Amino acid sequence: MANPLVRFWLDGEERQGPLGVPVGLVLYGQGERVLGWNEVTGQPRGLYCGIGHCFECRLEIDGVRDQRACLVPLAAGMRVCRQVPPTPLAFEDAP
Amino acid sequence: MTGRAPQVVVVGAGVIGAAVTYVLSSAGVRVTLVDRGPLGGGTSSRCDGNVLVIDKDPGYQAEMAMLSQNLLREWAGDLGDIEYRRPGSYLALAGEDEEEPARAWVDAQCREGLAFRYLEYEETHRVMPDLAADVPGSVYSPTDSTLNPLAYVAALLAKSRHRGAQVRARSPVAEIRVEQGRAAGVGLADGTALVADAVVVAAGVWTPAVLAPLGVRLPIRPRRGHLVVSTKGPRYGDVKVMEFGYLMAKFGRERVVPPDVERFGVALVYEPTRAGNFVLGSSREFAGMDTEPDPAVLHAIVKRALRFYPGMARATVLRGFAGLRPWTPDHVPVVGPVPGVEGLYVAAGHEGDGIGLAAVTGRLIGDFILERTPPLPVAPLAVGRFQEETAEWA
Amino acid sequence: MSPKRFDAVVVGAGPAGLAAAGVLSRAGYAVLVVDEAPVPGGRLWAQWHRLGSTVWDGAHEVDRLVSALAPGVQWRLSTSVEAIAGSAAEGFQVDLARGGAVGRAVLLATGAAEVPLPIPGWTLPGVLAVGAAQTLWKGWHIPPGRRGIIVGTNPLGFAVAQELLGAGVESLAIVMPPPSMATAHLGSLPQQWDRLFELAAGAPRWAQPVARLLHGRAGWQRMAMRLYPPGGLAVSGARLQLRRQALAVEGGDCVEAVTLQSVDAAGLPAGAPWTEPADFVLLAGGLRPLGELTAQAGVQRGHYDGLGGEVPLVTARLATSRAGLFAAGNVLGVESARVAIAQGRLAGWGMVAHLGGSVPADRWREAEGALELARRDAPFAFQPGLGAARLRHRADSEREVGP
Repeated sequence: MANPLVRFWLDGEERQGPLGVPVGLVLYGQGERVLGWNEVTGQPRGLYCGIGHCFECRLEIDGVRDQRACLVPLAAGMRVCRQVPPTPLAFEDAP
Repeated sequence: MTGRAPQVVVVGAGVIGAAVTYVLSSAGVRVTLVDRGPLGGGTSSRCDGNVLVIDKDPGYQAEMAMLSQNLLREWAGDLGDIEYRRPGSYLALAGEDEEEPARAWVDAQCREGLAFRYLEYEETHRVMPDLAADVPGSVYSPTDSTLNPLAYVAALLAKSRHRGAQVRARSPVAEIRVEQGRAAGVGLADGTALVADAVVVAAGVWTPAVLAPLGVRLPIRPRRGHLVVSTKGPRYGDVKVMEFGYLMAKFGRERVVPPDVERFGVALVYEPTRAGNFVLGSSREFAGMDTEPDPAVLHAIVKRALRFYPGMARATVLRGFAGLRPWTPDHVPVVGPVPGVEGLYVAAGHEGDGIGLAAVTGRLIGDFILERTPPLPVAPLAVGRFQEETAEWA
Repeated sequence: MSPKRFDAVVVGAGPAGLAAAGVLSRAGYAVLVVDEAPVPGGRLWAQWHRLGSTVWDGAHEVDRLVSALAPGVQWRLSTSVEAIAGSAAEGFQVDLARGGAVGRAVLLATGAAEVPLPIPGWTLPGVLAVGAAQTLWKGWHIPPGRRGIIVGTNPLGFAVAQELLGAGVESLAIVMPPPSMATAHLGSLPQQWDRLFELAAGAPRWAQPVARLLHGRAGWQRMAMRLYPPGGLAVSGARLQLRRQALAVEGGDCVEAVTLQSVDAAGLPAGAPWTEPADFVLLAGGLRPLGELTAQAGVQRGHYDGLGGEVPLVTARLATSRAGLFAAGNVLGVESARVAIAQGRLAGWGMVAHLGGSVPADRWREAEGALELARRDAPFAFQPGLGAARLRHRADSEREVGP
């Protein structure tokens, strides 16, 4: 497609990608299959439904968490980060 | 009752019916548990997992809650993984005007022998670093615990089945059969007749409808509550936090709050879950039997949470839903025999405390049916205590 | 800031929503179109398949629908609808992820979602819902991978296999799903074959090899499966391997292989399982109407297997049980995009009438006729029993919400 290439960052690393193509699809095309990890099991997750239904491709985009990467068009200068799964509960039982 | 093992039908497979079934089947009683819908599909699947003393009026209610906490601790080993943990709980203060009542509350609970503490500003913010800087203090109850309500109901039912209980989902009750002043069993809508020596109605907000054909009237009304669940992600502390004003909302006392908070009875409840989400509550309204979530209430709950946790603006809401608390006029559940019908019992009306009070409720119904001595006075729980209210509601 | 007011809010910019927005805007009404996706078109946008001697090019159809909108239509793309409250009298409040809008009438055209086919290993990156491959390749020219396996014999899977021609995929096989609780709703393998042969009887292009094998006769399935070539048949650029099933997807961080198993003509395992390398897997579990918003909005609904699940009950002019709320497209049942476009036009006129406009009689006839024609010309039914379900839906709707 004729979409011009723009600069963006993935986890702090500079990249180029086609303007206007959803971020999750851009990353899939660049071989980035793993977009996150299941918060409980830690297993890898990636693009699945491609149309915003499954929520498996959630990324932090320009500082906003849980963006469905399959729905957000790539823009110049975008900062994209994979989300770190939450730590297990530290506080189980009171003394 | 004769020498053979008694036979009991329990109506309602929510947490209360499941706990009753668990106690009875563990004692060798043959139990059949029936529910008109799926197991645990009513209020028990539309609630948080709080097992609290911190929000009970000092005295009888607090004692009952403590008994239930102790029982649950005993059961936890038998039930397997129900995400049970005992982090204690905190009531955060919304403003300095709440300091006096909060200290008085702590004093009253301590006089009853409970280990409550008032935490000053420094300690409050050390334990809960995500709290808004203007929260002046908090109340701490060390014994409060939490669990996964769905896992709790499922574990109670699994253990009960293992001990011989029959569990029938999607089996609406057409009638409770009474013969010569005694409960004789239950007729199901599909024509099945279940014979029993005793029938326990544990149908939550649906209890009045189940009992109405027998002329038994109970002033249990649905008090709707909404909950919001976050996606799995950052949490705002590992401890359970409510606002002190929750007590005011629960008991209908006066608060100084924004209009939608007042209108929907909104008070902060923050519950981190082991799965990595957190649950936000709460609201209290009389809105009939409607469980369609109301976006205005969900917004009010989230707004209230942001007052205490400004950092939550970065969190993502996964979903919101509503459930129906079985409210009673005196905020005390109805647990005991129905006067005039031998062998018929009620275990309902726990408002927002079904999860927390299920254990002691199961124990009490077991004591009634097996003629054992109950661990606390039962008069405050009596079915017949609502003469005036029932006249009013009739 | 008070929300902006519109005559009509259209939720979903797929074929149904765009068609309705066209009718409404050309009739002079202020229309807002909302969609979660960054581009209009919904699923239609990435559709591309041969229909007899012609080609159905979804992107072209979207262009036509968009250019048929009157100027002044407002768009809110990349925007989720969270709830609909209010009423026709006071205006419906449409809660958007950022802000809101008020509409005197609302069209629910949320389309369909894919039914998950949760086989072991399905959460590995590189396992995609089959529609995602369509979006990747036909939408954005991103190939899904080099060696792929499609699991499930749903029509959408065949359509996508055909679309992937030219995507640089070196090998593509279509295999059956494994037996499990999660696939129980699909029935046994012979039942799935039966359904496939039923579809093949309608003989869309991809099914012709299967149809030839059967000579168009029903009840020959068992013999056909005995004769079925072990390596499969060439269908739409893929190998259709009806006597293989995928047991699991294997891999560390991504898809690396699929464990396969041969079955006999009765659908029972034959021989030992083996693995074949693959770098993508497409799950074809079928479509279901996306009904969350219709449930939230509280319109009366019914469940119809033949329509793909829970759908609103509607009048012949697609009004739901709540005055001012209309529905069109796959949210009413999984059918073709042409059906969705025709439903969108019909609902558009229904909304014009609701808003107080006059609708000439020939407009109704034209819209209703186009819907009938689109249904008659549909190359195949997405679900078995579509026709019967439609009749039941119509009868229930007439009884509950009116003619």
